[in-house]
Amino acid sequence: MEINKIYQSKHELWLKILYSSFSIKNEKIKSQIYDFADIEFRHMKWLSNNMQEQNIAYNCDKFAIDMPKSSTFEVLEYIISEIKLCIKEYDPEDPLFARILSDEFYFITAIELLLKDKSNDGEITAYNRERKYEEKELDDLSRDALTLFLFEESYKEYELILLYGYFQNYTTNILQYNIYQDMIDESQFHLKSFGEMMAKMGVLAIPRTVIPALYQNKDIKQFLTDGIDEEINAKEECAALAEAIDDEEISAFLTFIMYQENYHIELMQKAINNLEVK
Amino acid sequence: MKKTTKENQEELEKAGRVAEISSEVLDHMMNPKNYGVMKDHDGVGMGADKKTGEFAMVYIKLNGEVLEDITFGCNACQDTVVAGSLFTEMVKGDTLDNAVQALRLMEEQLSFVSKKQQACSGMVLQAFRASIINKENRVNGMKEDMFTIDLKESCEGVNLNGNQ
Repeated sequence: MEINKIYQSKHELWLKILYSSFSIKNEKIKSQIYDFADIEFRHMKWLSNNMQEQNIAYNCDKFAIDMPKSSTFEVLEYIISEIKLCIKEYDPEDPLFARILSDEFYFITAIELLLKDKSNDGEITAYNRERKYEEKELDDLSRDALTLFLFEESYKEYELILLYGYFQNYTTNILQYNIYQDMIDESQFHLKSFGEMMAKMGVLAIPRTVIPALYQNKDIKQFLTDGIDEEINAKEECAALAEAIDDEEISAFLTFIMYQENYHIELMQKAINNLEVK
Repeated sequence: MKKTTKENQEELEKAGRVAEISSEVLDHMMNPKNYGVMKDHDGVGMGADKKTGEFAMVYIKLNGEVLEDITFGCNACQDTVVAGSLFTEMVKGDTLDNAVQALRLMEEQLSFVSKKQQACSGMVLQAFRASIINKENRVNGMKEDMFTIDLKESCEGVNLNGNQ
């Protein structure tokens, strides 16, 4: 199979495992599955580097993903079957896939072990649309505002992870590369935080596809400049939501995210300055 | 002291948020219909907000007079996503004439919502309008990748013709 098609399958597999981790309630299993998703993301990075070296274009396309919604065991079995499907696409002669396979064989074994212990099973409520946040009493307005915020921001973080990965692949400048890596790491953390909040509210959803117009033939400086405006808007929204939502824990978290946006703006400005010097 | 509903409403509106999510809207947010690029299309249009850089794209595929397929994509907020999902579901499989009627009807409905929602949801409708123009231009022999209509009002509430 062509490597850019395998990249798309790996992109989908990363999302399937990542969103599985958000949906699982058992903290130990959640953490283990999240780590597997993290490794899958690195596989994507290796593949994209490989394609860049061979001058093969790649994109951020993905097919619609229908996640399992009933139990932890159904989710774990789903992950195993999706990894096995992806493995069928690899070129066994390619050393890159040998590394990937070694990781994925371990994932399968580790998940099979989890499936042997019935006490690991549990209910999945991440998609039930109840929009209750644990035991918190949010009024309707706060609940709607938080729901919208989570949809907007989780998509944005997902988009940034893919776009900064894309730009990282096409730069030879170490400072630029490192800034993009910082931004990816920050967005991974934000996506995890927002994804888990969405799961608690029963509104977990795989983000929509990032359309090619956003990254192909992109003026990176303009993208970063627009990005600073978006970060400023996100900061304002975080501040207003933190103020409006009558819950100490959620407000404190939103305020924390708001301060992180300041750091993102600094990083993006640094990247712009560096592009101008070049 | 606990805030009143009105105070909450004002703060949330300041943050530019829609303060009501029905189960139907939530469904379109969780699972937007007809989202994505259509490769084999007859027309593609963009509705663009020059101020914010946000945009929506609509792709159409016709079979005679029937709008056989329609998809959309966007770099915009959830209002645009929901409007795109709702509108494409509404017109897919119908005649192009009926789809244009639906567009006008939806524009009328939008006059009852906030300026921000008007601009963000209207972006999809302008993209649809642009896709029809693109299709007609292609039929008339023009080599045009895409037709773009710039919004008159930005979703930030700024009149893009120069007035605030």
